[in-house]
Amino acid sequence: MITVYVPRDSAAGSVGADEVAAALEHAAGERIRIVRTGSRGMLWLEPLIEVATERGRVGYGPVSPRQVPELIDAGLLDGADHELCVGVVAELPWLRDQQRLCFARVGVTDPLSPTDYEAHGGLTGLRQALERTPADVVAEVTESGLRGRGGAGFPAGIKWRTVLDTPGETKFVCCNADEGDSGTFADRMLMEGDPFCLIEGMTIAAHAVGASEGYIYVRSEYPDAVATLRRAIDIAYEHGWLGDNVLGSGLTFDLYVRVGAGAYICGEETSMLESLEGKRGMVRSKPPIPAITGLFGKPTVVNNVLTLASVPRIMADGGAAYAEHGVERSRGTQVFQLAGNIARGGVFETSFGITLDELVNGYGGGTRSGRPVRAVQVGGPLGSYVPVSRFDLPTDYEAFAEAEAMLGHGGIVVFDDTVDMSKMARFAMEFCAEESCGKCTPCRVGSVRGVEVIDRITGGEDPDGNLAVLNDLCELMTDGSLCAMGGLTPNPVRSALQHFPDDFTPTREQTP
Amino acid sequence: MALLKEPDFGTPAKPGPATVSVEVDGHPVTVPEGTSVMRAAALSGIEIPKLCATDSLEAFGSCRLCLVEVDGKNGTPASCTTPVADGMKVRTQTPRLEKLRQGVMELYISDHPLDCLTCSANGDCELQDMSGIVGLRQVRYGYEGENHLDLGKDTSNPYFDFDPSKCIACSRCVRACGEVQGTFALTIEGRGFESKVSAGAGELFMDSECVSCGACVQACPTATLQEKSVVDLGMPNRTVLTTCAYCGVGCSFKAELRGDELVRMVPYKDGGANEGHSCVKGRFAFGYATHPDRVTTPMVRDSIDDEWREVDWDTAINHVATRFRELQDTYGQGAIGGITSSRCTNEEVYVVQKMVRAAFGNNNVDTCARVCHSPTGYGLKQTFGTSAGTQDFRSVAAADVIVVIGANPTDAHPVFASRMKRRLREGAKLIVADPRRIDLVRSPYIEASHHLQLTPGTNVAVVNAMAHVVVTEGLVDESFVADRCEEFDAWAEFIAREENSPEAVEAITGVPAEQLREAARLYATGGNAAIYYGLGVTEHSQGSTMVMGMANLAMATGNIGREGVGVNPLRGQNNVQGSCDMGSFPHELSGYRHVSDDAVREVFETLWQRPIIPEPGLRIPNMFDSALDGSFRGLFVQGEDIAQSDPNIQHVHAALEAMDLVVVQDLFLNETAKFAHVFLPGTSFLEKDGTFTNAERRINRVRPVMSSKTGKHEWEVPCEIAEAMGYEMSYDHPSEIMDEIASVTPTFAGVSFDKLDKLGSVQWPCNEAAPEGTPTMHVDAFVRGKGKFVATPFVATTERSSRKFPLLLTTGRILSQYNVGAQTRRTANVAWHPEDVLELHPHDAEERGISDGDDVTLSSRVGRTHLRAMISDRMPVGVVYTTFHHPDTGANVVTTENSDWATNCPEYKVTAVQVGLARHTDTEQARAAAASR
Amino acid sequence: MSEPSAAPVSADHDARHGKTPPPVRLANDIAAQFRHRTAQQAAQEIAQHIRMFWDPRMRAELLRCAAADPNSLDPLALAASREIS
Repeated sequence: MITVYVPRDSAAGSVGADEVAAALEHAAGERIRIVRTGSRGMLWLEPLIEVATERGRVGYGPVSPRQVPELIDAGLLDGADHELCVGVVAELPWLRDQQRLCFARVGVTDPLSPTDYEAHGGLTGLRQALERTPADVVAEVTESGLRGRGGAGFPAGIKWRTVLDTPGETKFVCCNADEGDSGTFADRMLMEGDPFCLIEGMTIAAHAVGASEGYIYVRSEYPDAVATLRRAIDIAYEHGWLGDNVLGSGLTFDLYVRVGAGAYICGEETSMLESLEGKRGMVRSKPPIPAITGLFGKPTVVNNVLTLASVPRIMADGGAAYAEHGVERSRGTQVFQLAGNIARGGVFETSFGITLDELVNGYGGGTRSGRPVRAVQVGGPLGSYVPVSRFDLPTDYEAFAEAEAMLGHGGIVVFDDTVDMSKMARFAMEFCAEESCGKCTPCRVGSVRGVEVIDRITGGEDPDGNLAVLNDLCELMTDGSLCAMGGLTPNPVRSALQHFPDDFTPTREQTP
Repeated sequence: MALLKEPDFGTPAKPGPATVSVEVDGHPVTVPEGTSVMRAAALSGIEIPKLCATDSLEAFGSCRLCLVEVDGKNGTPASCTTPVADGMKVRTQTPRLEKLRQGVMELYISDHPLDCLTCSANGDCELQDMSGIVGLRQVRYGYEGENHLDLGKDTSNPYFDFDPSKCIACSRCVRACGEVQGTFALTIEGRGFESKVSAGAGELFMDSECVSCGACVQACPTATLQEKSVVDLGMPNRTVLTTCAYCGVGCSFKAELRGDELVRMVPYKDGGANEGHSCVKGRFAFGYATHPDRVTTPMVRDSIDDEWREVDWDTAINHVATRFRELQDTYGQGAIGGITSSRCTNEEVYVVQKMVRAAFGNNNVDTCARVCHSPTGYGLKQTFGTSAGTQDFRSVAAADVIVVIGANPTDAHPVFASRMKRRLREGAKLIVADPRRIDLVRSPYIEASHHLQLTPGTNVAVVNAMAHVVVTEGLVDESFVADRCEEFDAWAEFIAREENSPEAVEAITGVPAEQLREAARLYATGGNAAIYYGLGVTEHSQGSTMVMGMANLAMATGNIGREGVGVNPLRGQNNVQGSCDMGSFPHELSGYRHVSDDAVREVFETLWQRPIIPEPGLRIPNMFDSALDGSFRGLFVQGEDIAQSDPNIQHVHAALEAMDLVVVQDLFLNETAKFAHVFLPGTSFLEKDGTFTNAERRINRVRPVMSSKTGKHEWEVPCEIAEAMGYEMSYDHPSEIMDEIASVTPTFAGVSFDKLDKLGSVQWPCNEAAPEGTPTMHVDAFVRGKGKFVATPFVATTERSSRKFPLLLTTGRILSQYNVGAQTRRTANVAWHPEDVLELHPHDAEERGISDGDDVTLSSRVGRTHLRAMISDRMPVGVVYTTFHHPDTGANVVTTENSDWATNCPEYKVTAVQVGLARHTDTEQARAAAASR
Repeated sequence: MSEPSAAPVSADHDARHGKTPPPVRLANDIAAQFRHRTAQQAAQEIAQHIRMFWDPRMRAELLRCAAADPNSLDPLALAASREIS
């Protein structure tokens, strides 16, 4: 039997991976064993099928179901050459150059195979952690320098320390999987491609802080991730990885999946907690911080998927090994997501410090349209626009902050030179107006007025006066908003104004 | 006084011994740890602009007006949500902050109607105030942008309007509905700019879960939620602080007037009982005071078949005095008596009982507490030594286990219920003992740990079984019992008997033994455990026994004498406690001292210059019996409608008809007035000057909001009758009556109007030992010295279901109506409860072919009445329920003469009945009869 | 007052309630509560309760009933009435 790997990831599925798998089964079912894996993250190659050969896993992509018989005839099962053949997948520069700590198994293993998981290093970290005291585990995570991957970059060890030190019989670990930023999909790919890794990370967190219950809050737009996680949790219970006596250690940890209802704001951690409690997703003011007063008022770890999924490797190899990656205060690896108008989009996990230019023009291959890149938006819809002139910027939390930008969740959305940045600024306000929870005034009313003011500026109505109003509004939203939603909305607006002021003059609007 | 604007510190006080010192704009201030920067600033005299913050609600942090700067920190945190930290230096006025605040106000006003001058909140609008304070001079966004100005008004509530076009989405109303009231009827619908306050799922206020408590109206900073009376009459310009005259919670209110016209009643934040909260009755249902049905002129007639004749006060009083004396001359000194009212002030009650004891020269005085909480007086006096609840209301915030027995606080004591619900939401455990599934059993964020759904009439068996578990499972607080109590061993021997075990009584009570055991264990071991009870305890043949049973349970587990515990009656009427305190019972002088006590009598005899009979007089039911046997001929009844509210009405009517002189003093021509020969107009609480004492022994001032509509103070009337009967009894001011009460009553020795005006209120005992009153009783020792255990054998009532009357009727109250409804039926509250209904279980309904809304007959061995059926799974099978707010319901037509063995409090809560579909002719007749009344 | 809606159902009155003189009914109600005591204790406590809470004319009526129809009284109540007299 020859093993053929076909992704089950929903990005691959959206371009026909399931049909390709069916076609393979139909054409060569008796000769092959099909393993459904996560995606390797080279989305331009999807559906990318891989055949196990003596040389390694040889890839073909993008494959359409119609091409399957032809590929088999051409010797696909032997790893023969073909115009769709990309060679040994692991040797592709795109993959070879990555440091896949978090995504090590994604695209390689069957996400729901506990055997695969353990064979590829799974549970090593958890076993290590369970041998050690909670305080030791927290210390290890602190030493790794791991910071929150959701966007804010808060040191995970400090957060865990706070929860550990807060007395309470009931504590929670909550995973924020409400991945709503434009151009981001790494959380989803991990949940679909290696759910046990997240489960393991959350279990380690539970042990480290003394929690007995965990929730994964997944956005409703991710039905495949929800199904995969639920199945993985069932399997984990069956194998004693979750439940009353995790791996015989005496640790009790129960884990549940909760599905959001389509509000972007529920990706904000306090809104997420409200939503988990069954209330409308509305931001809470901090203090109190969730680490002390979190879910149902109990001490709660709230971390992003990638933060928690980084932990098993940290525990397996030690915090020091993890901290060897990266630059300055940005340690370890970041899972970049290249999206938008880009030739080669997908997931690229590498140490912090790589420049935007290397990512966008190097690995990403520039725009898909072939036109020059004009700007990228980093860190989701509330991230700043970075012009090409700043592509030397190293991916480092502090360096970005200094350039009035942010790394966020690592999403990079590329625009070519046809983009009208005033429209992008307007869109930022519109997005805020659409997604604001409505609690605080600067965000609730300010975003609506922001759209109106930008319209006046681009419409030529007292541009100078209205620019002053817009600046004041941005200042108010930045300083006065309750949460990052309203507080960061001025980022794209101001960066667009700063780097592309000409786009806001009415004359440009009138030229065809 | 001028219109009282209470200070608003923005966020609630944080209690706690630890303090923090900070500097606000250079002013040092020391505050309790956890205090917000906003509150600390307010305490140091600096008001930080705010809109979403108010000190009755937890900080929310949404308006972003209250931003401040903190030295050494980046950013501009909201002062309402930022707690102070030691050494913090806060700046509240900087150019940066001014600009931000103007920016926020600019956004608000860009979506707000510019009709300040014609707005009903003009002058009482925080949005208007803040615009001024931040110096907003322009709205650069213009007024043409997206807005909410077209949203329509909801005028469905009879008392307030909701105008969403003026809403600033601060959520104060939503938060008040949840945090303060605990109903969670309001919500924010939609998101972002579409956010909109909504009662339920886009419903009208009247169609929603809203209980019309007014907390949202109170909390609203603009005209969005506004009293209709303010819309109609305009802003009030002066305030009179007074006390609500509905239930025994005794809420303090600011009566706000414009000139002499009462515009609205606003709950007073400094009110000890309510701390700024209210219910639909106290807040809104005061219109009866000026209802056209009020009778304001005295009237007399020779026979109850004659028409009334209006007379002047002197004529009426002389007529009463002469006729009373004649009756005494003919039938003896004991042939007349009086009934005091729990609706009246302490001073009014005191003068009535003084009139009876000194001028009538007998002890035939009783009070309407006879029919509600007399067993409380007896039971707590026997066990603890004083006839009153042990705690203040605030104590519930320290309870870990709350037991509610035979009470329905969310309907009958709503403002206290809100406190209780707040504590339950914080995690206190709840045990409810009630045949009916009252709202508290399951309400938003609250679920009772145990609902002991007992058969009516089996309270004592249940409380005994709980005590049995405590004693036999080793859960007794041995040191408390040893140090503080007596007669424990005999009681323990009794209670440990197998007949009192949960298993033995299960068949009687219907409560599963294991559930009862768990409830008992929770009560005994769950931390501070507090018992709250109502008329479902007292109005039984063993009402007094049950009160003692609860006292035993509390003593055995050491749940007495500190915050968070206790045995607490929820009093039905505003001044039940006070009317009992004032010596209204025939066997007791003020302060619960028996008439046979020579030393006590001597105090009164010396002051009153009249001998006092050392024997008890007649109780209300005894008066009726004696009227029928001819020895009791004349009665003065103040403020109680005995012909409607007392049991076995036919018997009461016959007794009243048998009397030669019935004098009624009331606001309205009530049912009893139909049997009266003299009607003396009474005053409403808005006209009274005096004190009420609530269920927590808190003496509150009642101050006149308007002049008496009868031309006389109510306390003057008994004085004048006494004088006309030849006994000098005159006071210049009600404060003199209180001074007299204080001089003859040790527990009131320190009470005076002056002190009440100074402190707001005091809880008796208030004397040299406790000059500012006593919030918690029995702290170091019981009033009687040692707490006394009393054996409480369960004796089943003789009223039990039979083949002919297979169901048990029990009665209760509803939120919007009050008792016999004399007041609330004369307000817009009828919008919620136009008629009493008979609640019955679907099974009982189906068996009788009854559908929801059918007219049914309700009959007992003494009478029959008609009601509309409401099928309800709140009821257990075999038990039916009704309220008694409407006279044509005639609930007391079916109730029996059974009563508590010790006090003769009627057994209202158990009547064996049958229910059947009414024949059409019955219904028509009933309607006609009701109409004719 | 005509009251078809609230008519007495006198036929249903049970004898205990309809005909018993009130003091007898009330004394019997009290007596029922003291069966856990010895007869002597019970009689004393019932008598004490009646002395504390009853108007003298009711006590006199009780004594009259006790003399006229001792069987109408609970034996404990009857014993108590002897204590009172």
